[in-house]
Amino acid sequence: MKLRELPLIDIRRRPLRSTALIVVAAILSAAVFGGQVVIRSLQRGLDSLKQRLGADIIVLPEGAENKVDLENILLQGTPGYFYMDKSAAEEIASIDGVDKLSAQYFLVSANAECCTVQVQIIGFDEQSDITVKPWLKEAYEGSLGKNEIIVGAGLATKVGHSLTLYGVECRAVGKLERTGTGLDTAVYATNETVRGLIKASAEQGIAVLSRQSPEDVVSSVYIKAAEGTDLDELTAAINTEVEGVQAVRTKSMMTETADRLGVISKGIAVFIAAVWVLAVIIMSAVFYLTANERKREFAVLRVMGFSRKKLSRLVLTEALITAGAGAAAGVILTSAAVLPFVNIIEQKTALPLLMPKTSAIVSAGAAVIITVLATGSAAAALSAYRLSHIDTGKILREGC
Amino acid sequence: MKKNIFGIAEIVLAALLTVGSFTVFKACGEHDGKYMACHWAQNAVTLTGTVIVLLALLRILLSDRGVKAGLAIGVLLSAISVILIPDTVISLCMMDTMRCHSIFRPAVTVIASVLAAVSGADSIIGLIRSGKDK
Repeated sequence: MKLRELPLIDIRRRPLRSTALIVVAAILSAAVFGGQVVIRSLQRGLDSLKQRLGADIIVLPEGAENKVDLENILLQGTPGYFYMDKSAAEEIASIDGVDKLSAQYFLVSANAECCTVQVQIIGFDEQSDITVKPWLKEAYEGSLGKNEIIVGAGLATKVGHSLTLYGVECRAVGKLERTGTGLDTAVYATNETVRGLIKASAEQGIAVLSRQSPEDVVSSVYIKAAEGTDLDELTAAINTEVEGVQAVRTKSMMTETADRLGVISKGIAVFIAAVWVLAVIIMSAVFYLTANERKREFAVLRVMGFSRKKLSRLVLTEALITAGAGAAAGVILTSAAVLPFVNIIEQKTALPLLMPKTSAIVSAGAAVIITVLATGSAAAALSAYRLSHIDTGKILREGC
Repeated sequence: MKKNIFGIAEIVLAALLTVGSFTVFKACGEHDGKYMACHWAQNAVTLTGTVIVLLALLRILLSDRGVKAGLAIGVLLSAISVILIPDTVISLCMMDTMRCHSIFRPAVTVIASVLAAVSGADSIIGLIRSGKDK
């Protein structure tokens, strides 16, 4: 037997204790890693939503339900539509402080191709656009032609492939980056294409959800304010000067989402802290109780010539092996249980969720394993000290 | 029991895959009397899962180590093919938010990956042991 193998032999000799320690370490690492990934994804999703909207102020038709509809479109991807007179956009453009302005037209398809599912179609003006093109992942040459569309990252349609909407073959010429918002499942087209879709639906006798043309109405207006403009004053000016509309600051639209995110993040943080404290207590207790049982074993090793340092190292190595195995198992199990199911978590929480990049997930996993190893070592440190400072003669004589 | 631990794990995972594919984590349902693309992916997973259950059962019942290793390799290859069925071999529905993308595919991928890992280890150990027997 090689002395180097002693920690492994000890671990195998006490399967129940070793399994218990591995399970505790796995629970700790699963809680910390899973919590970290979810918190980071929520934060990234909120940041992405802020950037994705790309406007300081959003103008919608008057009525609380319209704001709720827009939130549903943005956060849950529930298709919706609402309209206001197009003249409102022109009136808004003349207000001082408005730098850029882009109107969008919302349409909901009855179904799409193979799948009986509604798709949010957003008609936008390419010239004034400030919210769609900055997110193009796969850029296309030139501008959007008739029956050409840009698809969100959440749609299976690839660039170059077609998507049939109301019997019209629409060719995808661009794909947007994933944002973790409801807009990932939307389709973007020019108003000319949208007009064609409305006409096609009428010809096919399909009950299209909107019969109002983008020539007369718009659904929302995205505004970039001029530098130095007070956004609250500009919002108030739009609300008082333009009839039948409600202007909301993008920031205020996201306050409720940010608040919910804060509550969830705090809840997860408390849960992680509780698991951590429990894990430290359980691990310390297990090592402490084991230390009492192993006094004779260590006394014999001491007599055989093991130094105090070697005995400490033996206890710490055992702790590192069990904590390391548990931590790795926890990270792997959490990865299998959380990462593939991010879409369903996003739908159930109704919060924007954008997974961190693979490199960030890997480094978070590594950090968690190191943290659990440190926790395991700390829990074993007292036992290592006690076992390396035993009174060998007394224990061998009296047996305790 | 101990010598069949891999076979038992394989049969449990394969049964979970087979039964789950049309119950707990089934793909999108029927709409207006029409089945969507993912329904056929679900059927393919159920069928392949059933074949894996039978392979794993034979793996437990037969005693020859070489045959056991061969069956384990069969389970491994079938598990890998199951991973590839949803969205690679057979297209799923068009949106990430749909059930076939958010529940069916991840569940099939996770279970089939664990099954592939178990049967992979079983194959390697089985091949080594059958080699020693000779």
